[in-house]
Amino acid sequence: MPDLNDYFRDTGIYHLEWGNVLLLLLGLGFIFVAVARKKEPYVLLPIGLGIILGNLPENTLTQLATGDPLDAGAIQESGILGLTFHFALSFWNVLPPLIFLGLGAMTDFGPILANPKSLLLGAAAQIGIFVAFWGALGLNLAPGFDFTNKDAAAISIIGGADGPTTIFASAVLAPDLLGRTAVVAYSYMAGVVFIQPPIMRLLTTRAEREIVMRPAAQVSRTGKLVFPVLLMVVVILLVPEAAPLIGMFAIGNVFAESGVVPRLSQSASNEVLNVVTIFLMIAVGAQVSADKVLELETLAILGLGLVAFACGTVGGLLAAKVMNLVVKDKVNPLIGSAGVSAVPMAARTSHMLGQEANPNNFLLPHAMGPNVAGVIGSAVVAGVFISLLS
Amino acid sequence: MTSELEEAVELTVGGLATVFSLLVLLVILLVLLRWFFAWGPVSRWTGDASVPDPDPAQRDRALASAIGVTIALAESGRGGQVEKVEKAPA
Repeated sequence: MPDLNDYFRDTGIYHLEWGNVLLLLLGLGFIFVAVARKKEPYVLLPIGLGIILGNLPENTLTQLATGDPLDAGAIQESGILGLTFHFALSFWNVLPPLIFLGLGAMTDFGPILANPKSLLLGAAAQIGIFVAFWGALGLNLAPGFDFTNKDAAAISIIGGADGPTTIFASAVLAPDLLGRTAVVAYSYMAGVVFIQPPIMRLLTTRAEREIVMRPAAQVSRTGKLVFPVLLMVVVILLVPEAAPLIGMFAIGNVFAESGVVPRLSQSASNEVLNVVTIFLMIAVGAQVSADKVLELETLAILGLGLVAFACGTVGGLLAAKVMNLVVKDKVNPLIGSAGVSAVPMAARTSHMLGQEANPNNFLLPHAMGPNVAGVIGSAVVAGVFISLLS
Repeated sequence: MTSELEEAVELTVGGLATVFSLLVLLVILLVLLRWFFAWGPVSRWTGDASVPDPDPAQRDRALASAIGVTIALAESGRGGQVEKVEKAPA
């Protein structure tokens, strides 16, 4: 029976290890949360399925043939998810910019135009990125850790709470960490509603949470059309490495705001975004395989991500409190925490806590300003990291 | 100081300085943009001056509920264009 033995040795069961089983359970957990709890299903369901695929040994869907991936023979031996990860993420990194095209088409810059100073709250919330960066480097003092500056930068972007930006930065700076940083970033984004409120309550008084902000000013339609173009020109001139994200973000927004290309705007925010999400999320999930993930480093990334996220929230809140010392129209500090990106979950969390303190408080339009500013801020920081490190 | 550490300090200073200065620059540009488009001749030329400004407090409440609806629609997969916010009744 030599042939049957050979066949058995080629099966997944023969190569299955306890680590794979553990991560298969994690994948099932993601699927359960997405389906039964309906929490972030567009993220957790495809990532959960990807994790399951990534932990079924010997499967040809996720594999990337060794050797030159541009070699025709190697491509034929590779699976679609392996090719997607290699070419669309780590090699050309085209999927995150496509996600930004769709996000741009779904974004409203009106709150930023109505209240320009909210951009500063988005900047302050990026402080979490730098805390996590030094946290990762500090861990090198402990045995078992050896994070390079590139690794630390890729991990720290989790603090921006922006999935596509985390993937974009990790793919360039530390492709080996990509699966882990992406899953951690998306997990914390999904957990915004649990992570942020305790910090927000701790750092604000009830009187501060009750502050009703002056209604947002009326925004000119022409201004909304000109701003994304201005944003694209200024950011790309100053941080060219942020061009793939900010450029596509602005293009998608101009499509939507112009009102003359509804089909392009609809396609960017629906068809393109949906197709890209399918491949991006499954391919990223498939990177969470036992041979790459079950290390002490992964626990560190989880912890650093949480620290980064919490520090970003604190940074935004404190910046809003400082702003209140100098501005005439008081700012509700709760909108500062929305500066960590995680659109729109962070803005919605600010709104919910504001309503909890005062049911007549409608913070959502005000919180969308720092929220969108956070997206711009984290893309800029990622661009700076990439230009200085690669 | 090792070269790795020097690079880390450069990254921190460079990153923080860039993000803050760039966003401050954008704030200044936004204020100028708002001032420019609110200027009589320009707002008449763009047609923005003819748009009536509804009760701002009511607009805030409508905007909050419209954004909420938009988010819910986006999450249920039945659309979710934020541009719909502007079409909400104010």
